[in-house]
Parts: sequence; C-alpha cells; structure tokens
Amino acid sequence: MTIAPVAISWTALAPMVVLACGGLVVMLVDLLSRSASRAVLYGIGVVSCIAAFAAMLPLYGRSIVTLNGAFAADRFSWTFDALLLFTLALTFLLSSLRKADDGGSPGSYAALLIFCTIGGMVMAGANNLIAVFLGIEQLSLALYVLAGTGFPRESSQEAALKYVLLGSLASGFLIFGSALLYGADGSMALAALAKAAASLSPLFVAGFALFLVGLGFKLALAPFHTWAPDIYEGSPLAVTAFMAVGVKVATFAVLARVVYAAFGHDSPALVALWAIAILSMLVGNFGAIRQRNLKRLMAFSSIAQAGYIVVALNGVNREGLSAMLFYLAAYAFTTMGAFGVMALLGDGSESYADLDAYRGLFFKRPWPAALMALFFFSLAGIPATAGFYGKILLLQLAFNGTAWGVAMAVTLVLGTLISFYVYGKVVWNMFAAVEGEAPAASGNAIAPWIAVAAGALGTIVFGVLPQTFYASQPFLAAAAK
Amino acid sequence: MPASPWTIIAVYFIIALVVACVIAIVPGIFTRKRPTVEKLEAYECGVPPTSALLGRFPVRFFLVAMLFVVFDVEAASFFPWAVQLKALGWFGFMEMLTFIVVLGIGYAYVWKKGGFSWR
Repeated sequence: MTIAPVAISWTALAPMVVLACGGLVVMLVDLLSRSASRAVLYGIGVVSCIAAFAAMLPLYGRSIVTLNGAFAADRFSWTFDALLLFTLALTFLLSSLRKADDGGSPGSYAALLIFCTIGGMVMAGANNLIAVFLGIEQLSLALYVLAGTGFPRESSQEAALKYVLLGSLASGFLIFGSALLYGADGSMALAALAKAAASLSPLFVAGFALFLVGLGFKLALAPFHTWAPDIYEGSPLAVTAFMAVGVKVATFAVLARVVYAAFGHDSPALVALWAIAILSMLVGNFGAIRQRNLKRLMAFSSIAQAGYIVVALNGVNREGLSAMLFYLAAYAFTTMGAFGVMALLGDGSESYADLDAYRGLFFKRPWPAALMALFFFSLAGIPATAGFYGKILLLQLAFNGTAWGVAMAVTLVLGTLISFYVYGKVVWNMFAAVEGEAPAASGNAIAPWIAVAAGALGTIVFGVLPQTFYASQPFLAAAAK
Repeated sequence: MPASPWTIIAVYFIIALVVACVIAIVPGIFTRKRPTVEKLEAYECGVPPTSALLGRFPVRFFLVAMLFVVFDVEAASFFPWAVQLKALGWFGFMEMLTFIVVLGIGYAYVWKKGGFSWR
C-alpha cells in the first residue's frame, strides 16, 4: 500500500517556514555563542521578519489552498500576515531596552515571540477547524510563557498564571465548540459551515456559541474580558504591546473567516456577536475612566477597540472586511506607537506605565509627549488621524437598516465620547504645568524611536490619505472570498 | 419516533447521569457515620501517611515532568512513521529528518540551558 503524499505548496507556506528558520537560528546563536547580546538576537528577529515579508511578496494577489484544504494563502491572509510581521518587528524594537535582570534569557524570549507570530500566521490562513485550533494554541502557549518573562516582578508571575489558567479554559470552550460544529456539518472545513448555518440546527448554534466564547476570550471582548487588565499590567511592556495588537489581528482573522464562511449574509445567530460588541464598547470605555495605570488603561482601550472592530462584520459584506483590515492596521500603528513611547521614556523599566509619570511631560520631553498625544487622539478618533477614518467606515457599516446596527452605531458614538474624556484627561495631564525641577531626561535609545516613528507615520498617513489605502488592493481583501 | 443516532447518545448521557447521582447520593442516605482517626486520615494505599499532604516541593519536579511529556509525545510520533516507512517513502523520510532536526535543536537548547541538571 502506498500513501499518497499530501500536496504541499511550499510557496504558500514559505513565509512561515522562513520565520520558523529565523526562530531556530535565534536558538542556535543563543546556544553556540557564549554571550550573544540582546541586540544580535533581536536583530536576527527583525531580519527574519523582513525575510518572511520578502517570502510573502510572490504570494501577493494570489490564492493558494494547500495541505488538503487546511491552509489558505490568499489576499485576506496576506494583509493579516503583513500586519503580524510588522507587529513582531516593532515588538523586537520595543524589547531592545529590556534590562538584563528582567528575567529569562533574551534567546528564548526572541524565539518564543517568533513562534508565537507563526501561530498567528497559521490562524490568519486557517481554512479548517483543526488549523484554527493549532494556530490559536501555538500563539497562546508561547504567550503564556512570554507573559511571565518579567518574573522578578511578582505581577508578571501573576499575569502568567492567570493567563495560562483562563486561557486553557477558553481553549476548552473553543475545542468543544469546534467538535460540535464538526458534529453539525460532518466536516472540518470552514466552507462546510454554511450548510449547517443555514438550517441553524441546535448543534450548530451550541457549537458556534462555544466557539464564540473561546474567540471572545482571546480577543478580550466583554463579557470575557476580565483577564485583560491584570495580564496587560503584569506582562513585560513589549509583550503587552504584542498581546494588544498581534493576538487581536490573528484572532480577528479567524473570526472573520468563520463568520464569512458560515453566514455570508446577516443571520439571527450573529445577534450574539452584536450584543458582545455593544457590551465591549461600553465596558471598555467606562472601565478606562478610573484607571491610574497606563497599561491597564490600554487594556480597557483594547477591549473597546475590539468591540468597535466587531461592528465591521455587521452585514457580512465586502466593505466590512476592508473596513476591518483598515481599522486593524490603524489600531496596530497607534497602539504599537503608544507602547513605543512608554518603552522609550521608561528606558526599559515599567516606570512610565504609571499615569502620574506623564504629568507635565510636554515641558520635559516635548516630542514623546506630542507623539503620545497623537496616538491617544487616534485611539479616541480625532479627525486627521487613522482612528477617525476607521470609525467613520464602521459607522457607515453600522447603518444598514437593522435595529442591531443602529444600536451598535449609537454605542459606538457614545463610547467614542466617553473615550474623548479618558484620553483627553491623559493628554491634558501631559500639558499641565508642573512646579519644581524637571527630572533628568532619560530614554533616547534609537530602536524604540524607530518603532514610535513607524507608528506615528502610519497613524498620520492613514489619517490624512485614508482613501488611498482603504481602496488599495491589500485592503480589498474580500475579493479573494 | 425514528431512532436518530443522537438518541443513543442521549440515552447514554441519561444513564450516566442517573448512575452517577445514585452512587453519589444513596450511600450518604443509608450509611451510619462513625468516624475514627484512622477513617478520617488521607488514604495512601493502606499505609499510614508519612508527611503532610500540602507541603512544598521543588519546582524542578514540574520541569522534569514537562520535559518528559514534551519529548515523550514527540518521540511517540516516530512509531506511526516507522510502521509506514515503506509507504511514506522518501517524502516521509525527509519530513521526519526535518522533524528530528527541529526536535534536536530544542533538545540541545534545553540541555545547554541546564534543563536536565538537578540543581
């Protein structure tokens, strides 16, 4: 008996293979050299990001389904992969300031970040339920460890423990949901979900609900958000940045693929998703009001932003996918930039996670303060920033004539108004005059400056010329569907 | 009623639930409770317990257990390949070689970083 080998398109898998090789090289360099410096290891990381991006270029605009239909490299995954690699490269730049006594070896840290991103890329291209689970687990397992890499701080240990316990619970929901979805249509392929979704059989509804709980946890959507503030606060700064951006990008890819494959149009089953979106927008923005720690504030902000992004699925149409990608890109630029400022000012410590440290910052460090203000304006949605146009796109999608759409639009506007207060307070604080002497300016390292500049550039360019990007090929991803 | 394949599973669940409830509840109703010191202590295969149950023990145990599970599970995937070696041919051989190299790098990493030494 001969077993027919699985047809493998190495072109489609090349970006992940290249990145995986980069991860192995990092491990080998860490092994073989006595004292490979942080800069060398993270430099290899950034180079493997660029190499993986180069391997993505031949895939642009193509659509390849490989590994017996388990994995698809299409326009949709292309844009998500590009965002993930961008996030990973910036995370390395943010990590460069971490102190040697921060715990863990830089080699394992860099390798884990890379393997984590490969998990995200598997998720972005996942075309059946097994690939989805495989990707999510690879991403999560690496992140559980990364959350604890600041282990000399007790809050980092706490974050890792909470993340692993709650994360495995969520994975349980996800795999149970996948099993029921498989039971409902007898196939692992996402494309096969449409038949079961049309009939809304009890098995499908139960499976989809459990699946949503699992994804909702990974996205920190209310009411599955309670882990986010503690874990964002406890994890090392750069890991928090990756959690806030990379995980959301990858998980939204899965959510969009599942929703678009199963429904293809508005369906009563999606009401659960709309309710989750509304709750997230409210919980995220109201929760952010009282925060005194910037990482906690960013956690609540990310809950609200995830709620906004779900609105893009309203109507399940092509414009929605483009808007989702645009908003995710804007969110990635802005959030990575904001975390970049935090890392830059703190000079590798967590001292600028405290909001009090920002009091009168403008008079001490005008540029970082001005850029931080820019990022907060974009998160809030002030015109001429990327976040503004993203919200306009979402509002257009929300008004599609359904009551839930209108409810989401109203909540979106309400949430934005609350967030004006939240972010405005921080910005106001930065421009408030302080008495007394200004502390010595520290933190001017080049690597985080590059990350901040990249974030600022993206935020401004996407804000000033939104149409150019919104209508460009990478964002018209739905055409591949 | 037409017997759907799910009916069998439903019956199975109901029986499991009923049996579990009966076993858990019925003895509680009919037994007489006469506790003694011996009856209340932790059951360790009939041998008198030697140490406190909730003591602290080195985290190294967990590390060894984890490494064992990781490499054991990965090694287990050699068996199906070995059984189907001829059928899988050169493709399978090269795949396994790649797998071993990746596994080997991980093994070397753990070794060099002192994961196997009991310090």
